[in-house]
Amino acid sequence: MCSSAGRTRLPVSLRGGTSSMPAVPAISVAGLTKSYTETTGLFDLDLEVPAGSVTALLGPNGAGKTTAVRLLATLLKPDRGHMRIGGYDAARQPREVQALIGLTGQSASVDMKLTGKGNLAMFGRLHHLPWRTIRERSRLLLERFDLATAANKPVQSYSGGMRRKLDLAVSLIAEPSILFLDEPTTGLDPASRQALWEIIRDLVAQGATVLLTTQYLDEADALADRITFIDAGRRIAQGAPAELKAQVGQTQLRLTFRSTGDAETARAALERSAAVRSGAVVQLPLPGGRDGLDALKTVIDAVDRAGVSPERYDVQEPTLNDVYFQLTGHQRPDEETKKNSAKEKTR
Amino acid sequence: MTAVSRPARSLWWTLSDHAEMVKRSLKHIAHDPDQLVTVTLQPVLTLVIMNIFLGGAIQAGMQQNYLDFLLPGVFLVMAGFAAVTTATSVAVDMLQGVIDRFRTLPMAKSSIVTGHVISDLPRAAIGLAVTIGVGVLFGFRSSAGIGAWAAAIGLTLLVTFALSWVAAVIGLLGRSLEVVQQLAAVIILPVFLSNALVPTDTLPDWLRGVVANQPISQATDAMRALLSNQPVGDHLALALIEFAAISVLAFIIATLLFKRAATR
Repeated sequence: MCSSAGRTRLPVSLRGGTSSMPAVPAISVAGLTKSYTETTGLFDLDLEVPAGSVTALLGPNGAGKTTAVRLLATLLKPDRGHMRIGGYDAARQPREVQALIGLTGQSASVDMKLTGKGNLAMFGRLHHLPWRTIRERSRLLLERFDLATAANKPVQSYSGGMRRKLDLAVSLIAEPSILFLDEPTTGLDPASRQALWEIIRDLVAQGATVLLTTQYLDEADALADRITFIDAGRRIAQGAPAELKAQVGQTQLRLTFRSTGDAETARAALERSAAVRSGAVVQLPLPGGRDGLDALKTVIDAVDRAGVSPERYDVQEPTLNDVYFQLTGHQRPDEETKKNSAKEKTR
Repeated sequence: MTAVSRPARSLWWTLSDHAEMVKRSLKHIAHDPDQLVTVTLQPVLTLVIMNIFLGGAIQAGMQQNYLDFLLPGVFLVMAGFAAVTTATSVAVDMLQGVIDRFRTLPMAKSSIVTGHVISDLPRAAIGLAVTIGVGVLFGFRSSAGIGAWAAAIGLTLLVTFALSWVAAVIGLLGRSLEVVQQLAAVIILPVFLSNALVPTDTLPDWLRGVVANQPISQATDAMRALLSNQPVGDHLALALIEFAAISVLAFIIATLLFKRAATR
């Protein structure tokens, strides 16, 4: 939907795609601090986002995700720390940074009285784009976000989801090489959510860099190359989704037998694989990758030799949910309430 | 092809940004013509109430035709109401999400407020045309030449511009739309505490000294002299200087307030 022509103004090649690794990361942050109180805000954040990749910021409500996005998008001034966006110093050269970025915040940042088309035209002009480019891109974006029929209606008459989609379309009018999305799919229906994921993947395939915050762990899992967890304004973990999942546990194989007796026979046969039994279910960890397949073969052979056969099997991968709960210490809902009420008392 | 977003560094793009923001405000008026009600209905109502209901009583105490005295004053009533709208428009921009979008664009940020202020001028021009039309229907006649009329219209627009910057300051100060709407009424107050609608002869001396010399009264005196072909004395020069000064001062305060709001 867009051409990558004319990105000559960039000091580094951000449009090179994922294959050619540019020397300078799209976003580079060191010691970024913006404090509101002792535990709210953002403290000493270090973050590097390679050009052409997606990084997700995860964390509980109030962890500082939005503060981080607003700092990076030049909406807030940091107390301390350095931010380089697309090679530019965000504090000293905000306009240069602003020409590279697109932002979709949590509330719809569009003009309610203008039409959808009018919004795209105005924000395109304020990006100093030529009229012809604005016309072409507006048409494509309105189509892509399924807003073509509402293009000439005032935004006031749009539903919440439509406003959200227009907000995203407006963020893309200048084909930003760095896109900040603060909970972009909150309030979208599943179809629009999928459509936005597709658009994000397309943009990244063309070399754009995306930093997003989300409440949905499956969204981070589906889109992000790297995930940064923050809690109480501090980074608590960072890595690729698979690395983070590997930290909390291994893949589990669950075998369900017809009877407890069969299950016990199987468990005994799989003693060496650290199998445990619970009722008619036997569960054991599987290593990842190629080793996992070999282990699976060994398990099947061992169960076969013991003369029992499972009725059902399933494989459970650790999810980002497991990572989230382990990192934030919100293990179970009842524990969370206990912790929260303890917090209340200390205030 | 140069289809790339670029920062507003040149004078050309700064002017383009201002033009775009003025266009935006004018589109708001087109989409929501209610905004024209204030600048047309309020001066017309003032004209009707003052001329028909109170005019007879006021006329008894003066030599001049009261309508000829009143109409230039109603221009200033119109200017006040035209400016009030800016307080609300600026506050709506600052309090709603759209400000975040503007602030992350490579545009000249000053155009966000200036766009609203400048778009008050065409709005005021419409209000002025309606006010003059209704005045003529009521029997207002002027022997003034084109130059004097141009000066009177120019002065009305300068007053609108100055009051509009004051309104912008109020719009930037308010923490909620309701507060801003209440505060904005303050802009109209000096118009009623002037000689715009009634002669000040009957006021106590100390009060008359204040009321007759405040900027709105200076502008009214200049306007009356212009439209009745009388010498303007120093009223016109004083009014021009005072409203230019108010414009500059309010502009500086508005710029500082905007910067403060932008770095929260």
